Amino acid sequence: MDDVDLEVSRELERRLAVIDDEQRRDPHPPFPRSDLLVLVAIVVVSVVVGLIAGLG
Amino acid sequence: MAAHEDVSREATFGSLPVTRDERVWNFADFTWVNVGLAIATWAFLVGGATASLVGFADGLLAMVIGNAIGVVIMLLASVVASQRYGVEQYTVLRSVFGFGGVALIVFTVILFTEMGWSSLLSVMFGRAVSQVSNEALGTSIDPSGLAVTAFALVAIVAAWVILAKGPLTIRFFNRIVAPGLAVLTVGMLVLVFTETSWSQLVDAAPLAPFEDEGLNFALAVEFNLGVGFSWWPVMGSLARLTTTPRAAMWPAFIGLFGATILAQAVGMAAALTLGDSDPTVWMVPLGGAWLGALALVFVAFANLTSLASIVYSTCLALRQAGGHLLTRVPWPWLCAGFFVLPGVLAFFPGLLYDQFLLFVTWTGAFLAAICGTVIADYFVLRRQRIDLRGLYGHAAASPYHFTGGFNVAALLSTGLGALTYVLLYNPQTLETRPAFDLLTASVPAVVVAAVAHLLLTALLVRRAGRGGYDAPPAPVAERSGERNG
Repeated sequence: MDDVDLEVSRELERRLAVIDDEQRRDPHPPFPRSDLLVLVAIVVVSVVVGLIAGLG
Repeated sequence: MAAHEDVSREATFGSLPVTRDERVWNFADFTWVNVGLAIATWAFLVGGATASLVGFADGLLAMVIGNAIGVVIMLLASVVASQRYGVEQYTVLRSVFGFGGVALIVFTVILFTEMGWSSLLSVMFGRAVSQVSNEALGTSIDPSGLAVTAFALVAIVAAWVILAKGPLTIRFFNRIVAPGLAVLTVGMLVLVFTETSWSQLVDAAPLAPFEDEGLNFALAVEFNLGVGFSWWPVMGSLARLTTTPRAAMWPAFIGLFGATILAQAVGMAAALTLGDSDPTVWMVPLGGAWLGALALVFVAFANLTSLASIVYSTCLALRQAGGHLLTRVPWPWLCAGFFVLPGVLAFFPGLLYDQFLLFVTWTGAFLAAICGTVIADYFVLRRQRIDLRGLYGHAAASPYHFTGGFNVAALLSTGLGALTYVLLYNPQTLETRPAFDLLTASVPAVVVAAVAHLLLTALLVRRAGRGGYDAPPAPVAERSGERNG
């Protein structure tokens, strides 16, 4: 492992430690389920409109 | 380069995860980033290509349907995980395809997709400059002539110089180009409606349709689906810098769906009004000699910054996926290597530019399948939980090493998805199955890739105890966070 690899490795460890600490204090939430439902609804409505237009 | 400088580059733009302090984009910031990305010259190309298949009303419907589905699926497959973990998407993808699998995808699908877009933009630059020359100097340069090749090569060299100077130069140019393109779009909209009435626009016939109207509409939807998927290679790397999941998803949707539709619709209206799908042909008839020439000069300049932005993100991905081999290659040399194929393609200006629709649908076949696989993996199999340290572990020390660095299940699923696409619609021969007119090819490709990944992972990966799918529950801190979501 040369100087660059060592520096990158140390920086990665530093960042992972900071992120671990952040996660303990105020975790990053997963993607909200309500937003996911809205996005799925957009896709479903678009597919249905497309089917209607295609059949028409 | 000193080690410290290299770390600084990696930390800011590379594969290392960002900390909370470094997440600088809120909802409004990221909206502007995406609007700037969406209103680019390629939106005019898409509008023109859509007009070759369908009229204005059907075209608008196809754009809305295609982009809505394509953009949502693409965002779920790129933005969500990168935002949560603060990691650019090619590193996140290690949890789906394995370290070697990501390299395989980057050096095939992503590399050729982005080389294709680079070639398109450089030829568009060449044609825009040729049009200015024809108008101002009275030359008669052919759209596929050697002069266009020469100008396209100038664009490539100029983009390389911008790239070699680094991301700050790209950002500086983008700050001029993004608002300028917004003004150009609005100006074109006004000029189109001074040239033609609404009823004339709605009644205008498509430029080069096939005999079957249903097929034309399905092709227009499929093409716009491909456009939606085409954002995938760059979105995750941007989203990691946002502050919350909502500040990542909805601005991206507003920009890549809303602003794109507006710019594409203006392009489609111009194409139908002027009877030509090539954006570089519109400016002079619309704006007159001087204003048109000025608009073309700006379009040429805008293409340079788009070109530099695309190549920048792709070369970063290549460097990360290429491991030690490419980490040691100096940045300017890596960028120069990327430009070799676009440089060769510049000698055939019509090859991709006149076959734009084919190019987008071919790339869409693979990107749709990749998105299906990623969504099944992240949302269903992993339930939005990734081992952050595992993304950076070496070889067998990482759960994402899979089998020799490759997740065979994910790669096979992606292949099956792409195969489904080609069976329903072969972009090369234009051969379609009856189901294509109703289902398109991208949507079934996404579904087949997702279902195949769920089944193949159960059969091939989980049974062997690989991939970290059955890892113990996440730390308490993370689980408590999920109640906040």
